[in-house]
Amino acid sequence: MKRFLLPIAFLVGFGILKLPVEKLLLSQEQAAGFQAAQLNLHVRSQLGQMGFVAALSGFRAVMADLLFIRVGTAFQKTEWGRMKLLLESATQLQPKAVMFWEMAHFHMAYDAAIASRENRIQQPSETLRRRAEREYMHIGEQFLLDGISFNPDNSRLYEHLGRFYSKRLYDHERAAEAYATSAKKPGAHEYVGRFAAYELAEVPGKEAQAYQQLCHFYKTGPRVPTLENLIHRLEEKLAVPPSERVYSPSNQETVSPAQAR
Amino acid sequence: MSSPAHSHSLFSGGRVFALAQNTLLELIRMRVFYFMLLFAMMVIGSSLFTVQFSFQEQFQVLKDVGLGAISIFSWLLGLLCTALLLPKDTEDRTLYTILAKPVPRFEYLLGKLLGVFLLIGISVVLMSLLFAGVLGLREQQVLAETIRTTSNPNDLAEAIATIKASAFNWNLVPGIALIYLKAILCATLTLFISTFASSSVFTVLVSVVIYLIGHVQGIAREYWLAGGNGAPLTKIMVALVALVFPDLQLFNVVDEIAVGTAVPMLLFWKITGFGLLYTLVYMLLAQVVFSTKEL
Amino acid sequence: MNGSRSPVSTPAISIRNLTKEFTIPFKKDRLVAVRNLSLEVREGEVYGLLGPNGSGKSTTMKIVLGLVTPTSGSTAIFGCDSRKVESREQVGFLPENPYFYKFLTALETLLFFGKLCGLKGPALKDHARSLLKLVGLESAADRRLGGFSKGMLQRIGLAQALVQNPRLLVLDEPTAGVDPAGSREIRDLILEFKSRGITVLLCSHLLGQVQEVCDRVGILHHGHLLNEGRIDDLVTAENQTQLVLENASPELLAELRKRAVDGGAKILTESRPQADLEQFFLKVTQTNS
Repeated sequence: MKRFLLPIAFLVGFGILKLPVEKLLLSQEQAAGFQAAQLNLHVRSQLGQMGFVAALSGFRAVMADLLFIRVGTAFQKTEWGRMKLLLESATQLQPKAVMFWEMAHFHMAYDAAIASRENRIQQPSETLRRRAEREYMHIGEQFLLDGISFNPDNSRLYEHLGRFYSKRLYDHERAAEAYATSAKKPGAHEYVGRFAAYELAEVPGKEAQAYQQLCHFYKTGPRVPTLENLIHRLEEKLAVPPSERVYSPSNQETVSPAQAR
Repeated sequence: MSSPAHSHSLFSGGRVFALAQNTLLELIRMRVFYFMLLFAMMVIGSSLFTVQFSFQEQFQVLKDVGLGAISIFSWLLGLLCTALLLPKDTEDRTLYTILAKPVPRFEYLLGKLLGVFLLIGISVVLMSLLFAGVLGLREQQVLAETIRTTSNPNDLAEAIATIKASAFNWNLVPGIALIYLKAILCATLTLFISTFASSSVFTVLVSVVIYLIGHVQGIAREYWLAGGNGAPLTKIMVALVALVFPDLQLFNVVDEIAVGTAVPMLLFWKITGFGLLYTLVYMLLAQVVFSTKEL
Repeated sequence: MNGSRSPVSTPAISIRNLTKEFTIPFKKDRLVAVRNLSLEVREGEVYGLLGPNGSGKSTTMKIVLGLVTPTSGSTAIFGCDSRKVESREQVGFLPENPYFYKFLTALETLLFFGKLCGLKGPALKDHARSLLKLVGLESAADRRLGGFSKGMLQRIGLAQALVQNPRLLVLDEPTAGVDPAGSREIRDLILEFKSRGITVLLCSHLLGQVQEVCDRVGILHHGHLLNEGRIDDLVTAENQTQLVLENASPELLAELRKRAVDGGAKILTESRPQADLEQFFLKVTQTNS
């Protein structure tokens, strides 16, 4: 036993020294965007014991993928509640996988929400169906917001948020804000900035601001029909003097959306 | 008969290399490359399950499964091969024959370990090449289909850029390097355990337990450093886990790399340095125990 | 130790007051394998270390080879402490029932052990081939050890023990499990080593073979050295004479008996000598092969 005393003492001594180094390394990894996953009882309930052990043992991504595959099965069976649980676990295991947040949002805010609204057979009450729809939409929105908290520099998530506010909630002001944020992120689609201006144009009292932005896009190009039509509408609404108008129907520089891209 | 024409050197790279080379040969001829075959089947087979997904989802699953397979097989390879080294040599008395030569015990251990490192390294490289190959093949399939179905040049360019970004990229290499580092750390730890273990089964079991505990060591460490209100026995257990076990989660960065997060080079080298330090510590501990072991 | 010959007076193996105790797990008792053993093996002689199982022979050998640490006392090889790695530069060891890496060929095995001894390059390869020739395995140089017979394994074991041209050979049961022809060859090799000036420490239960090759023997029992000396001195009955006659007539034999008794001698045995079974076996098998 004596010959083990030295190694044990060395291990403990080294352990004391390495603790702060490990803590520092972990904080640096987290600052760089790593080690963001949360393993909790909720995830454990979805993965089962062995899956949880596998996730703890460094196979989070594979477990997340397995859960995501199960989402597909639940989708085919329209088991929206189960899908929600699986998607929550998958995103907790792989919070940096933007695709998971996107799919979670789509499934909840669109598929589950609309299915709930149209589910007249199982829920005759329209009030309750609408309420279920709103709840799923809120869940879908929350997925995007959580995804953004883990991936603050991802333009796609903001773009989806803008589209959600615009098409589902008809909240054009928030939609404009989300699109504008997306446009500033690296890798943003070139049309997102225009979308922010389009949404702003629908907000009462913000037409002038929107017009300024749309004029800038008109001058820098591409001049897509939606842009031109909206500029024309705003010039009429804001009674812009003809000499100052940017858009002219006789302007031959109009391009189709396909050409613009 | 003439006397030996050389003097004894305290350390000989030649001796170590001869032992490493022999160990590598021995391990390869144990048919460990069947692991490769199994891995290849897994990687290729997994892509078949992703047909119903979008190409981004396909690449995601392919990368996660491929990297997960590299991780588990490199660890298993190191664990099983190392666990057998000392017991086999002891049982076969080859150990006596080798140590009866002018070979210091630490060179014997070092040579054996380097042989395992070489085996793991070759395996990781081969598995990575296969993984990259399968990803590349899938990428070409998706590209061909996209080119066939997309007419607009701008749409096509954007689609091609997106596909290429989703497939193999060089940011994965540091992640794979850290997978290798974790495997050799675990192999060295296994060697340390085998120096005092009574059987290879014991070595394997203890190594597996340490591997699992190592992945939750961070939780124990944070709990202990935060001074949680637990029973005294709990605090002692948590302290032991935090002090004695390595935090293996620090080496698991490839999951985030696979979804596009690049690891900063400075951070990569810090983690590598820490891993090598731990490997050295376990190697020294193995030497201390082995040097006084009655053969 | 840089290869130069030490003075003649330095023994090949020097064991002084050697004691080795093994601890028994979970017990306070200790197993004493070797008790206060002192002996010397002179350079150039063949020394037989004998004793029943558990007498401490293997432990003594392992301590001499630096594989086990003594509890007290010291061992040295040509004046160099056994605990130092460099002492093994001059030692070749053949363990009991040696087992080498099955996947290596005979030549690869010698190359491997040669590299462990610091040898390298074409010189090592040539030396390995000459050793294979010496032990009669030249034709099996490229055959894997997994297909070797027991005798062949013993011979490759001898070859690896010789790879670094040692001044001392330690052989543990070199002929155990080997057929008579193989045993004879190994014994002849030992005698050849002796003629080349190599010191040999031999452990064996086959006392007949020990008697043929050893100059001196030491007998261990329960870790003690019971007896030591030249074989002739130990086994020769001083007061007895053996006389072997050929073609002696019955009358001559009767006369000799009478004269012996009249002279005060006692006739202990009278019988016809028998040929050595091993020699008969070798003669028959070699004639028919």
